[in-house]
Amino acid sequence: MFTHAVLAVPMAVLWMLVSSTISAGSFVVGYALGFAILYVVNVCNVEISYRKLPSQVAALFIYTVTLMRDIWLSSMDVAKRVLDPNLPLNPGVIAVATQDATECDFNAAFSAHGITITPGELVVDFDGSHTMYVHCLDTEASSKSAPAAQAKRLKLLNRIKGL
Amino acid sequence: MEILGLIALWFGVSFCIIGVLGMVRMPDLYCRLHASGKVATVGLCGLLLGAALLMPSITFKVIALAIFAVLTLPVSTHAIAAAAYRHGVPMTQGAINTAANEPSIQIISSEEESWVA
Repeated sequence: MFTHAVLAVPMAVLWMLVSSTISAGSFVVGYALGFAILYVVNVCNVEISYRKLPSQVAALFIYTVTLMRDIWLSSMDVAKRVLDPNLPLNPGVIAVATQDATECDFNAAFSAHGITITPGELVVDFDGSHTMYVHCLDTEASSKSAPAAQAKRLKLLNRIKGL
Repeated sequence: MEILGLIALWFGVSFCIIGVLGMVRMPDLYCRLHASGKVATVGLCGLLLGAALLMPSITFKVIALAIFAVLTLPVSTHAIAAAAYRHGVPMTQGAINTAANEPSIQIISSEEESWVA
């Protein structure tokens, strides 16, 4: 129940943004709707406890900031390649392990989302939820950096989930 | 404020143009998806920022739009890429497939020959 109550807060904020009325009334409406949706859908295999909540929020904040940095860097990288007259590409597909022992769909989905946003990488296929096939613009550089980046991302995702 | 908004709009538009240029210049479908998926995300964010600066009344909706766009654009890119990969759309010559895997689901299609050619 506490998990639902906490997760309804961002949904209420989203409701306020979408309806573009920032007021206590719209927060209450959004909170009620969010709580109801979470209760019915019951997607949370995430367990939130009082003790871990600050660390989870901090991890979420770090994840968001790194994601924004990645989006910026990746579009700059691709734009540079496109505008270069020689079109410096070295495309190819590499296999990257999710490195997730639990094989959780949440981790797999967010890893794929994160990788698709990383500079020059794009997830093209999945093998269950333990291997991702990643298309890279610069295969050699990516095959060196991808496993470490994935390990970091997974650690952060697990912290967000409160493990 | 108006000048800042116009700068943001120009920034967004130029990134969208770079995205289109990438679609034309890149050698195969997968590389093209890089151009459309990533550059367009920043281009869209630039356009939204410009809209928010020029019309402050819609700021909150713009923030919500940006969140949804950032969450869903990579998903659509991935969906197109996965569909192409499973159909066996060929990569450009010289592309390395170190994964050397077969796609996890293969879609057998009579049209496949026409793509390989």
